[in-house]
This record gives sequence, structure tokens and C-alpha cells, in this order.
Amino acid sequence: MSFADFMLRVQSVDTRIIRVLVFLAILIPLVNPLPVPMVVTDAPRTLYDFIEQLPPGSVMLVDTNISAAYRPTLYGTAEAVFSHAMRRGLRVVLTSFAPEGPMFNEQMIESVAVPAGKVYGVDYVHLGYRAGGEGAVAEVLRDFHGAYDTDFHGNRVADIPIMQDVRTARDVSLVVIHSAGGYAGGGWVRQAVDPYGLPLAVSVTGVMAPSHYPYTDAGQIIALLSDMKSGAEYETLIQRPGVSLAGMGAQTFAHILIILLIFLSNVSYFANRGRRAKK
Amino acid sequence: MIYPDKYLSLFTLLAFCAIIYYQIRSQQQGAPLPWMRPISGLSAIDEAVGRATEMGRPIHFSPGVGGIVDEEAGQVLAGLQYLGYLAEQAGKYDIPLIATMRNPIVYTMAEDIAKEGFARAGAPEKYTPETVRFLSDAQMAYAAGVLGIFKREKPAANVMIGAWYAETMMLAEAATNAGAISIGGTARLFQIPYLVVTCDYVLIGEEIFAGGAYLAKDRVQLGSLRGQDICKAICAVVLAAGIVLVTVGATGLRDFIAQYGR
Amino acid sequence: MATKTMPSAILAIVATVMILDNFLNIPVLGSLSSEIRIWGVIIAAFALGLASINLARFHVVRVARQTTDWPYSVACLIAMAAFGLGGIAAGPGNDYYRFYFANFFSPMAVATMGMTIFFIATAAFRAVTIRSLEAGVLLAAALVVMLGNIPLGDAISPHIPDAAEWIRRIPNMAGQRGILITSAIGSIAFGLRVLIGLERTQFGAGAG
Repeated sequence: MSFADFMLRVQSVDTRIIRVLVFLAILIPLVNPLPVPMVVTDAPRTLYDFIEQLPPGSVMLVDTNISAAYRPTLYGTAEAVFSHAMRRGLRVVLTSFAPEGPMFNEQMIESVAVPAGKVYGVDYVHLGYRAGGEGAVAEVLRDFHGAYDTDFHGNRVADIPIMQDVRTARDVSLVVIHSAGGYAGGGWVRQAVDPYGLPLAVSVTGVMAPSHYPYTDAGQIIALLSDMKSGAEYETLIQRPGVSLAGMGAQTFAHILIILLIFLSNVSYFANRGRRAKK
Repeated sequence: MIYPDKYLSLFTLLAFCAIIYYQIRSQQQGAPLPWMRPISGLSAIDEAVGRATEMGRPIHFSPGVGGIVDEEAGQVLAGLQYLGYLAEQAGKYDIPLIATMRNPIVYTMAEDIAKEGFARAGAPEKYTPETVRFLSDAQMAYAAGVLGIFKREKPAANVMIGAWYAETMMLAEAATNAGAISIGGTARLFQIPYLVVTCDYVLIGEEIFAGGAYLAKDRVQLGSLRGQDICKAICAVVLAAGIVLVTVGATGLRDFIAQYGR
Repeated sequence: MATKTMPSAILAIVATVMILDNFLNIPVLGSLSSEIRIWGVIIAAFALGLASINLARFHVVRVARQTTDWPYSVACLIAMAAFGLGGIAAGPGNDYYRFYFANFFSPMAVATMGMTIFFIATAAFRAVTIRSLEAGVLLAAALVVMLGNIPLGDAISPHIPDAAEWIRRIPNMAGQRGILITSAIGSIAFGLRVLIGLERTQFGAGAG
């Protein structure tokens, strides 16, 4: 059998075999975690440094605009940043302008704030979901108490200790959004940065990141984190391994496999090019 | 009264609208038909209809997963144009049509559009409650539902033109595996590459808005296309001028646009 | 006549208010705009209810007729009743609902999303070949970006992540801006046609 024939057989392999290979490439590193050396890039470090220099007691507003399908991509970053903020003694106001966001806020509270002994209503508060997209963002920033009568658990916002000091956007020191779609960074730039000059950090999926570069270049977004890699880098910075770091091994192997598949496909293509020309 | 940093944006919007409106009126009053470059994705829609007719299998249509109260509304509405056309063809050639919807408001509109399409073909009785299906408001649940439809119903053609998110590649590839010809189109930048890789024909960006002009040779749409081309030319000239000026160190134009063009 | 003109009139008024609010600093417009957004949310909620009824009706018919795969329709109806109605009754903060979200909804959504990798792998194996110079350039860029996205890229060379960033930031953005500008103009034209009543897709008229 010639090399060209062999490569043609490789290219004609049943797609189920490819799917099994992909499955194994993801499963094995998840079951046997590999130590993946992480080099921290600028964006996570910028956000880390910004939070480090905020005085304890500063208010950080978080918009968890994650839907369930994007949990692996964005939740790790959200949890890591929340953990860092709790550790630094920041007061965190959790919101969401997506229906599924509050559930992830609650998961973060359970996994980060509760074990750390933080007090609900004093160290952090969960205001819940507010419908209306970018318009709702504008209303909340204009008047928190007007936009939210009660928090996620039904407590009156006016009675919550942390909210005594948080009435408008001017009481917020940092906004961090985790978004898988919709208005994302652009909307928050329009509603928070332009009118109020708030520092804004954005965590989005990898495909959304390029559309936010104009905002980072203009200085309107102080840090743009994208995808699970940024989450893994942030977990490395705060020395709290989480879901993002755990997934990097699988992501690495899957990427390598796809590169290999593309390579094999092209070797077969060029090996059989003469044959196609003859036909 | 006008926000000071939006003078230029308002002027540009009004100017573009005026240009487009003028071209529409010109076409309505009988101006010569503008030349249109062939867009293979639009020509392929009739091919898809023909394929479905020959094979006796359904056509699947979806306008994407966006809604009509967000920035993708234009894309969703553009996609629904194709539903009306496909419904008419389905009525004419007695082809099953399956239109799946993720957004409940879009679903209610799609029902009316499909019914009207079948009625235009003189076959209102061929519209059934199973023609337009609301699968789920959750993105991945919707995608799973469509995958199931591809597996069970094995459509001959898959037309997915509208506002698409992360499920794009999954659905297009699954359609290919089911033996369907796929025609995809979106103006959502992130998903265009996925459509290009997986679909047989692709409508990129603004091409999705050209459906009415191509499929029905509607003079209003043709005039609109011509107006859009003039606006694009203006943008290109301004861009080129800006690039040259900034390169030689004259930042006046850029600063002017940055100050008044928010 | 009223059934055709009234929706167009409402559409024109609402759209004009929303567009003008974006450009004009008039408090009344801002209030009207906020009110319209609230009504939009309310209408969306009603539409969701209507669509849910259609979904339930569709699956009840499938179960009654015992069409292909009808047991899945039973599962769908049970899930709708248990989690939809249960969630409305108990509220999203309830332990029952949180258990459902964390152990059913979220894993299923992630699993469905995760299937994308299988389709990407098969599509990459099938379609990503260097058939032309342009395809070769595209493939090289894709490889650099993929390597830049994993620690292996850093390990091979510290320039790979920088190169990946450059590809995303410069040529990728240039292409995206072109599509963005043309799509925006297309949206303006479409919106104008809808506003002045020349586009009737949303009222049931198709491209035919």
C-alpha cells in the first residue's frame, strides 16, 4: 500500500473514531489531572493588581450574565474574582441581567463566601435578576434602591446594611461583568464608564473578546479576560485552583488533537493531489 | 436638546436614511433595475426547495436564537423573510416545512408568516400546528431539540438564516450528517466562520438582508440595496481619508468623529 | 384595514420614541422609553406563556397518537410540569429549584454545548485543508491562535501568545469591522423600511 493510499484511508476513517479520540482526549486529563504550567498574561494581572490596591470596604459590583451552557467557560473566572474580592475585604454586590445568572451567584456564594465566614448583607449581597437588558443596567446604576425593592431572597433592600452605602453608581469602586452574550462590555461601557467613569473589567467568551478590543484600547475597559484560560491564570494568581485550572489539561489535549487532525487531513490532501489532478 | 456627542451620529443616520429612501422611491417610480451581483446562497434556496420536492423530505428553517427586543432584531426579521418565501414554496410544491423557534415572540410572528405563506400559495390547509414549533427558550435545549428533529425527520434542506449564537456549528454539522443541504446566514460576526466551514452556502453579514430583493425582485428591496451600496461607498471614502490623514499625522477628522460621533 | 394599519402605527410611534431618546436629551422621551422597555419585558413574558402552551399541546398530541419517540414527549411534559410550575410556585431561591438547576438543567446544557467539540473535530478533519494560498494563510493563523490559547503555546515560544493576540486584534478586527459596518447599514435600511411601512415581514407578508 502506498503512502497516498494509506493517507486516503486515514482521511476516510469513520467519524465515530474521531469522536472517540476527542472524548478520550478530554476525559483522560479530567480524570488524571495534569499539572499545566500557566503563564499569567496582562489582563488577569491588571485586574488582580486593581483589586489588590482597592481599600478594604470598597464596593465591587458584579454582573453574572452567564447561562448554563457557558458555565465551564466563565464560571471559574467569576468564582476566582469573587474569592479574591472576599479575601481583600471588598464588599460585593452581586446582580444579574440574565435569567440564569442568579443561580450562579448563589453557587459562588455557597462555594466562596459561606466557607470564608462572610456575612450576608454586610460583606456581600445578592440582588438577583433584573429584566430589561441594557435599559435595566442604566436604571440600576442610576438608583439601586429604586430598581430593586427586594434582594434575591426577598429581603427589603432598604434594610440591608451594605446597601445603606450603595445607592448609585458613584458608590461603586469597580464593576466586573461575566458575560456570554448580549450587550456585554459595550453596554456596560455606555451605561457605567461613559456617564460615571467607573472602572470596568470584563470576562467574556473567546469569540467575543475581539469585539471588546476597541474598548480596551480606548481605556474604557481596564481588563479583558477571555475564556477559561484567563480564569485559569486568575486562579493561579490567587493560588486557588478551581474549575478553570482543572479544565486546562483537557483543553490543551483537545487543541492538540484537533491540530493533529488538521495536519493529517492536509498530509492526505497533498499526498493525493496528483491523483485528483489525473482524474 | 441633542446630546452634543451625538450630532454626527444623528446626522449620519438621517443622511443614510434619506439616501436609502430616495433610492427606494426611485425604484418605485420605475428607475432602471440596478445590477445585482449573484449571491450563491440566495440562489441555493430554490435549489433547496427543489431538492426537498424530489426527495419528499421536509425543509427545516430557523431564524436563529435571537429575539426582537435586542440588537439582533434586524437579523431575526430578515431571517423571517425567508420563512414566508419557504412557506409559499412549501404550499406550492406540497413539501413539509418545519420551522423551529427559540424565542417565544418570534414564534408568534413566525406562525402568522407561515400561515400567510401557505395562503399565498393557495394551500392554507397545508399549514399545521406542527409546521412552526417552539422548542425551548433555553439556548442549548433549543439546539438539542433541533438535533432531534434532524435525526428523526431527516430534512432534505436546512435553512438557518438569522441571529445565531454558539449552537451554529452543531446544528449545521448535524444537518450535513442527516444528509441535508445547508444554507446559513448571519450578521453576528462570531458565528460567520462556523457557517462558512459547515454550510454548503453562506450569506455573510448584510447579504441576509437582501433576500427580498433576490427572491421576489421587489423594487422596494432593490432600491434599498442600491441605497445601502451608496452608504457603504461613503463609509469607504471616509475610512480611506481617515487612514491617510492619520498616517500623515493629521488627526482632525478622527478627533472630530470621536467627539461628535458616539 | 385597522388590523393592518394599527400595528404599523404602533410600531412607528414606539420606534420613533426609542430612536429619538437615543439622540435627544428630553426627559419625557427617557421616561417613555423606559416604560416601553418595561412593556416589552411584559409582552415577552406573555409570549413565553403562549409558546409554552403550544409546546405542551404539541407534545400531548404526540403522546396521544404515540408517534415516533413519544416517550421523550412524556419526559418533556413531566419536566415542564415539575420544574416550570414547581419553580413558579417555589421561587428560584428554593432548595428544590436550586437542586434542579445544579443537577439537571446546568449539566444538560453544558453537555449539549460540549457536543460542539465533536462537530468541530469532524469539520476540521473534513474541511480545513490548504486548497489555496488564502486557505493556507487562514490555517496558519488558526494554528497560531489555537496554540496561543493553551499553555503549550507559551511552552513552545513566548511569541506565540503575542502572535495570537496580534492576529485577533489586527487582521481579525479589520475583517470584523468591515462586516460590522455593512451589517449596520443593512440594519438601518431594514429598520427604515419597517418604520415607514414598506417592510411587512413582521405582519405576515413574506419575501414572496
